[in-house]
Amino acid sequence: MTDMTTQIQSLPQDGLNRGSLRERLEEPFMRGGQIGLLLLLALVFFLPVLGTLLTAVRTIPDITQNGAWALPSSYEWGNLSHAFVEMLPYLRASVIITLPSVAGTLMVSMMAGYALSRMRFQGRIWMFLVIVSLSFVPIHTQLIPVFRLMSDLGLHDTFLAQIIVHIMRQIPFAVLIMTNFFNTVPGELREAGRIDGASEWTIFRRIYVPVARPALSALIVLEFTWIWNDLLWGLVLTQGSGKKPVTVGILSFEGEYEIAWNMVASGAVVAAIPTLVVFLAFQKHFIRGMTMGSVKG
Amino acid sequence: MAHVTINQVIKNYGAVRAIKGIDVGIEDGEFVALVGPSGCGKTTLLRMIAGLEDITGGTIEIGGKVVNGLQPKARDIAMVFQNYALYPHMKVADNMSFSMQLAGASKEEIRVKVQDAARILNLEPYLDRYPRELSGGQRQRVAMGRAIVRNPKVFLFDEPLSNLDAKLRVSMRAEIKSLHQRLGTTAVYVTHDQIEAMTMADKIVVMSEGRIEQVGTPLDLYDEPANLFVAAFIGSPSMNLLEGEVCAGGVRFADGTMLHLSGTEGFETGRPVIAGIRPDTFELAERGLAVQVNVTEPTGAETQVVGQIGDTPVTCLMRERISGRYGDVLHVLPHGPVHLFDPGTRLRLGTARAALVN
Amino acid sequence: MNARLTPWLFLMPAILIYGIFGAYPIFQTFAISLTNQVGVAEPGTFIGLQNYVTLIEDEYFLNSLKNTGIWVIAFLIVPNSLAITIALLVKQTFWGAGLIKTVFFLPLALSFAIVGVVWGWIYEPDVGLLDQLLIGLGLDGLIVEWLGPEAATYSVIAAAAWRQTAFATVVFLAGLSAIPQELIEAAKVDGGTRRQIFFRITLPLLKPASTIAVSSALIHALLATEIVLTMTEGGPFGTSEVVGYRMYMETFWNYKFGYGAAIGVIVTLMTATMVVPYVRRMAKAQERDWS
Repeated sequence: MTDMTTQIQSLPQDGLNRGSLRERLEEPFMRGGQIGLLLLLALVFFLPVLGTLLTAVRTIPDITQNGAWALPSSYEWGNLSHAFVEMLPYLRASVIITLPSVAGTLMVSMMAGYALSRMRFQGRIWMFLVIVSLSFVPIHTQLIPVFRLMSDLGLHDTFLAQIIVHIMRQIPFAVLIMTNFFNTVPGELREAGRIDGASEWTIFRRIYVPVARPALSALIVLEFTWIWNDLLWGLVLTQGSGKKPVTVGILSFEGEYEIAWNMVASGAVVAAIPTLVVFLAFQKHFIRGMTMGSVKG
Repeated sequence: MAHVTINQVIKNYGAVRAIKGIDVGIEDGEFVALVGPSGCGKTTLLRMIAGLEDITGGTIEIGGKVVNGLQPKARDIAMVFQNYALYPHMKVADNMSFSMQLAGASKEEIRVKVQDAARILNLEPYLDRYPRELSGGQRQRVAMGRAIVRNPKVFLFDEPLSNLDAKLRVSMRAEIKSLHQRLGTTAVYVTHDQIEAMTMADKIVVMSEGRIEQVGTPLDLYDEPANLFVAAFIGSPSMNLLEGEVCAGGVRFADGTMLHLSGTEGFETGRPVIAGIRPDTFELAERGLAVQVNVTEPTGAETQVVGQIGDTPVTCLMRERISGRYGDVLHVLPHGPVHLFDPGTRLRLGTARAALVN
Repeated sequence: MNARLTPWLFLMPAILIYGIFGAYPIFQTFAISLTNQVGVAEPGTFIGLQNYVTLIEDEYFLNSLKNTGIWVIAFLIVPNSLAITIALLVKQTFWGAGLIKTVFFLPLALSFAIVGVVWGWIYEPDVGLLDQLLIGLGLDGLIVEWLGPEAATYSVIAAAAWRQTAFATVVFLAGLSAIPQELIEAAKVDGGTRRQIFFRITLPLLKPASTIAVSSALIHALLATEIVLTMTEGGPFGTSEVVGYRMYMETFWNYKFGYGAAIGVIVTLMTATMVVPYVRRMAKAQERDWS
């Protein structure tokens, strides 16, 4: 639809929107200037990424002799594979933590969102507002007692502790998204289901969950990125290297290689690849998810 | 198949009483239309029959069994929703058979029933499609198919045609009616469109503000509306209502003109009445009621004259091709029944007929 | 299923998990902040508001508080004005929109850990990307010790602003897209100049987006723990510490749990005051939609 309107509007515009001589002269300059500015901003924005990629595939002497922005004198892909091998345990831990956390978050929040959106009960709006507010609770308010609780439960330095905590932290936002989504699904589907003889659980499971697929893909992409990228819980809740996620891993990697910047950059690239791939592949879902809930970043 | 009995039914939303004690008896196999303006409680009543709304007071019986406490699925009813409520992620065949799947019917049984329903509704080529791949009329038919497959005691329709364009609405109207005649299942049909109600129903229940105004066959309501509400609601264009008072030999209107009537002898002279005259009963006359023309709207077969008698707006449907302009005056006389209503109670007093003037 | 119970059964998993691991800890933090607990081994003794009194005189804390103030101000201005400029340019030029958007959105996919590491390399003296770039452009005079005591806070803010700008651009682009094109056209027909249309139509209609972008900037500026942790560890000499980072240090390095909890409480209260307008707006919207 957007395409249609822009086409229609671009046809008569030259004839209609003549404006003053000054404005007509300004037009091409304005546009050229705008494009130039946009390109410049994009370049500046992209420099950190570009520089890191460049650094990752070079040797240290190459960097010190030719400067950080020169093209590599030789491409050292071995840096990346070496970094990958060293990061492997952390990547593995991140996968083991992230996937169940995302799945758990989705299940719990879909159920809650369905109830908040489609059922009429006392305290519903109140409950919803509490959940919205909770999505702003800073991690700092929970760090200490959660650390203590996990130690008491004997869950310190386990994957389970991290999974539980991630689900807990993501519940408010995910419930908000799912509630808002289910609000857009016609309530008659639930009534049709009731008449067809479905129980509340069956209606949820066989009608609303499948219908929620578009919202789910957006939520999955967002939650995956956020949980994968978390650092503080990974620092606080782990001890040995086996349970540390890749965000903690990159820090120890940095400590290990100190000024071997090509290796540090390689480590950063390897650590960033999973979320980057997900982001590039599902950018649309990612953006849609952000604008659906639009609170975090 | 079953009869439905609605007995003193009340519905409260908080402090608001939406349904104020309603009694309706629906015979086995009957097609009943609940009709009225929006907010009159017709949809609420239907949803109470379906079990989607709690019943505050009174009872609803389906097939002789009180269903007040029963879940929708235990009531043996099927419902067609205004927006069809088709499951968007299921193909047509699955949409139609979802209830049977839930009930644990065998694959073979499901296949046969779905095929039967699809044949009746001409949906056979579409069974493998998703709802989004269908036209509005086809979706409508799938919604009906979903109801037919269940073979329920009662069909419930909630304004099922209101999302279709005018032409399709007319053909679906006939289709639903013939379907009902073929299946013979009791049907309750909610609509705000009185023409739909008139053309389809065996019996019409006219509702307003949570009450029943009148129950009867379409022609009963047309010929003998029980009160001013029904008089104005049934028939299109709607009945002209003129204030006046009984005088010797007829009724005198506010602008001073008199209409000679037979059948007003029983009323005392000077009694205020409202005379209801259907637009299509007017015919041109030498003398008679003076209609000041505002516009004339030719439709080919007839001409609709919109004007006023005194200060009261009137509509006349004339068979002649009249080309009146603003300010012209036409003289007309009613050649049909003139309904008399009491302005206070708004109830029907009786029917008079225009007398020949000498 | 009992109709009254059903909604609560659906909410149960969320309530249980958040209740035990999220809500209960919030209250505990308040309680712990009134004790002198050290480590997890044994509970501390009740000391009333002593931790808070100590905080007022704690130079490290006061310095971190000052830095957090700088963060808030910088974060309100820099990412949001950059983002609104980018969003308008993208919207108006339509030029290579897909690729350009990807470039601006990309930082959202990166964790603060990675942003910290990458920007550490950018700020590296002499050989680092920034110094090399400035030398290449002949701007050697601008070079300072980016992560030294004078500049560290601002340098870290710049790194974080890079990521925050990406978020704000998403929000403002969505906000701009939500403005019906007809409104802009109507304003053109009514004879509005480009400037008038921007200030009197576009900007007011961007209010919902602005609320979101501003709340997000505030919260991230107030918390800003992970990026400080990864880039400077608060240094050099604590000059770039922020409140959230102090809380982490006092708790998990110095093991002063009671003291750390008190800082946590302060962070929470600051956040709470910042998000009130946002939550109020949500409340209004919900009442409208649901009544």
